[in-house]
Amino acid sequence: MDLAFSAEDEAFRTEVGEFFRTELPADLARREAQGFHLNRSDLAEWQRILYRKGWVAPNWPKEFGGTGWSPIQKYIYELEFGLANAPEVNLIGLSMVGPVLCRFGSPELQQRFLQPIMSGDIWFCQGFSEPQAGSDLASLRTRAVKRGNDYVISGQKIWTTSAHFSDYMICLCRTNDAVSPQAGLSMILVPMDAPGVTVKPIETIDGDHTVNEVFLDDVVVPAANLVGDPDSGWNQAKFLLGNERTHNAMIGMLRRYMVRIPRLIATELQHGLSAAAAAEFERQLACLRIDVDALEWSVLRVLAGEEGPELAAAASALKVCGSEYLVRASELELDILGPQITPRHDPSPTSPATSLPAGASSFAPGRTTQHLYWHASTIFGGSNEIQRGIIWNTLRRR
Amino acid sequence: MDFWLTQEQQMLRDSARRFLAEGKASGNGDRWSEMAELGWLAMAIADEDDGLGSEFEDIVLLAEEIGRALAPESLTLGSVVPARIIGASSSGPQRETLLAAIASGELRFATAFDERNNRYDWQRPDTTANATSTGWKLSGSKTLVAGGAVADRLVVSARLGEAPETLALFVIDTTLPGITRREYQTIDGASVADLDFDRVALNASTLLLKGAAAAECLAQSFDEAVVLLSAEALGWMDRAIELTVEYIKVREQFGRPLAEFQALQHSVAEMYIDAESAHSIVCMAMAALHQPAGDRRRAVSACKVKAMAAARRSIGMAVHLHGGMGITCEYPIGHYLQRVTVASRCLGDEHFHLERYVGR
Repeated sequence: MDLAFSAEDEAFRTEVGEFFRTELPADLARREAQGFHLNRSDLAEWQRILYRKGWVAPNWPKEFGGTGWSPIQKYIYELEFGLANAPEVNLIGLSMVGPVLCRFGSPELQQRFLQPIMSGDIWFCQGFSEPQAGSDLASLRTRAVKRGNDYVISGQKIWTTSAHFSDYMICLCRTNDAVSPQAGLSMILVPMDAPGVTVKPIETIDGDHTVNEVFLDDVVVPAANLVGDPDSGWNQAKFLLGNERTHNAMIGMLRRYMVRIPRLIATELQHGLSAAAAAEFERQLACLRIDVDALEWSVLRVLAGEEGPELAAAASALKVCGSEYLVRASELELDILGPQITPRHDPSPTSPATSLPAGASSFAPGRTTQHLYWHASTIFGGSNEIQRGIIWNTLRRR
Repeated sequence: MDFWLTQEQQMLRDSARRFLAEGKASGNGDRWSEMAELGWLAMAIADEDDGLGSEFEDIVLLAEEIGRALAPESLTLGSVVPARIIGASSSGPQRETLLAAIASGELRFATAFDERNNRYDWQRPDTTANATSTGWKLSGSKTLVAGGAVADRLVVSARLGEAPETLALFVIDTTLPGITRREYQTIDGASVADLDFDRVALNASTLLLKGAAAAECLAQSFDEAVVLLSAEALGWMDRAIELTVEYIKVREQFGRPLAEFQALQHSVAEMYIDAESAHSIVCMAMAALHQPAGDRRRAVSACKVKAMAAARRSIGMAVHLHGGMGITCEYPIGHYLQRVTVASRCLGDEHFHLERYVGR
């Protein structure tokens, strides 16, 4: 047992922090800190910076353009990334599709997609959930039928983040009805500009546009776009979701809240917040901070762990905690800001202050939006009930 | 960084689990001399003082097992803390004799730091020691001293009756004239005692540490004791999960095992999440014990707050999931609830540690 960060780890932390301080565009960081979702054109420059640095794909094997970092280094990078208010670029392409292609993709697919995913020339969205297949993902109905050298795909996807500016969707489809629901699925890369693909925005309670419905009507896709073997999509999906295992703890994002909340309290004390209320908020903050401390060390323990049912349970615990703490942290901000959280703000790339009421806190824009959005986090990536089910399945077999 | 147990650590854990589950006392009392034979009482004594000089992580592992078994012996306050404080005193024949007596279990030690008026703060005793021609005269009262009834020696805190007020630590013989002891039980079944000191005459040699050295040593010992108590909580929680899973698999209602009801499955999953979080925060605190005092205090207080809150919640749920059986003495699970109820208010409660955490 050795519970200290090594001197190399600390040097790496300094290097990463310095990189973000000098290279991350300040305006981008400001907008990311507010919490409005940035679109592809906002992020293009930042992705190029990361790409040039060679840090855009930490989760890929080194021979495919990954960084070759240790798990601890990846963790440090993710934490500093969050603390610097750096926005994530194309999470689906870089953290999910990339590793899947490296592992299961044909050399041709690797050749076509890996480099453009890194450079930002190709963006991916993820077509998993369907109207009738949410937590019960294996019941999905979108069908891909082999016809000559093509697949013909029909069905509907939903909750597809970033579909409105993505080039491709990694689509989980049913290719075989004769076997169990899990065994009859395949993963196919679908061009979003193919005839028959229709993207319809879903307006969500946070006032932002991030998710969509995607309709697929007899979309013809070359069979070469199949990832790996036919009917092996379920295993690939599990591998793909395994890559977001520790990311789901949302440590970087939570640390941002831990930095901002004391500043909110200090500001509101100048605007009528009582000392007693401030003390209560500080108490809640301390409790939350302690929970986040523990979560951070849980991430480290999972990173160091060995594959198996115990690790699956521990990873599920990360997801439950990360999402619940985000809801708590963002709600605490609303309590502190009080009436200032009520106006609706729009993500404005230029002048953030113009839409504010007179004398309002410059911290206010984005706080309510982000809090409402975090209510999705207890659902996405496998609902927290699914996670508790995974934990129970480990415990009952111990 | 790595979290793997070494082979030696795995052996320590396995043998401790076996002994604590089955080991019987050789005499009438507890298993203190057996623990001495296992080397447990020498773990917090340095190599050069003929101790085992164990890594703190090893002592933490042992504390987990003590928690799991709800062992009544107070290893932390009966051996670790006395060994640390005596070990920090200046060397001489007395120091060697005392350390050897801790390691062999030949003398029983207790730590007397809590008072009615100092509310968890070991640094502010009202007990006073006034200088005399031959040494000191000790007056005051200590309360809730674990193992105080059977102790041969006490490590006692006092302030010296001189200006400026100075913290001092003494080691004293419990049979000295002027000491009265009153033994009673805590609700989790441990024996504690109140001790009154009525102008107890002490030799000059009984003074172990004073001033900044005493304050620093006491602060470090307090923090170590807090981490060890939190580690005990990990043992309670792991065992509570085992007992609860076993119970709901067997107990049937509505014609099927309770374990088939999702509401109950998810409640057990929550117990696991609490236990995992507590494990993690204990790792954080262990790592921080080597850091500067301010960082150490913060991490240790975070550890106590989180470990105890997690244990209260998860063990409370475990008792609930046992139904009526959970509140009977016959079933083991309720004993864990007794223990966490007491331990949450030992070595600083939630408020005390939250205040330390935010730096007040």
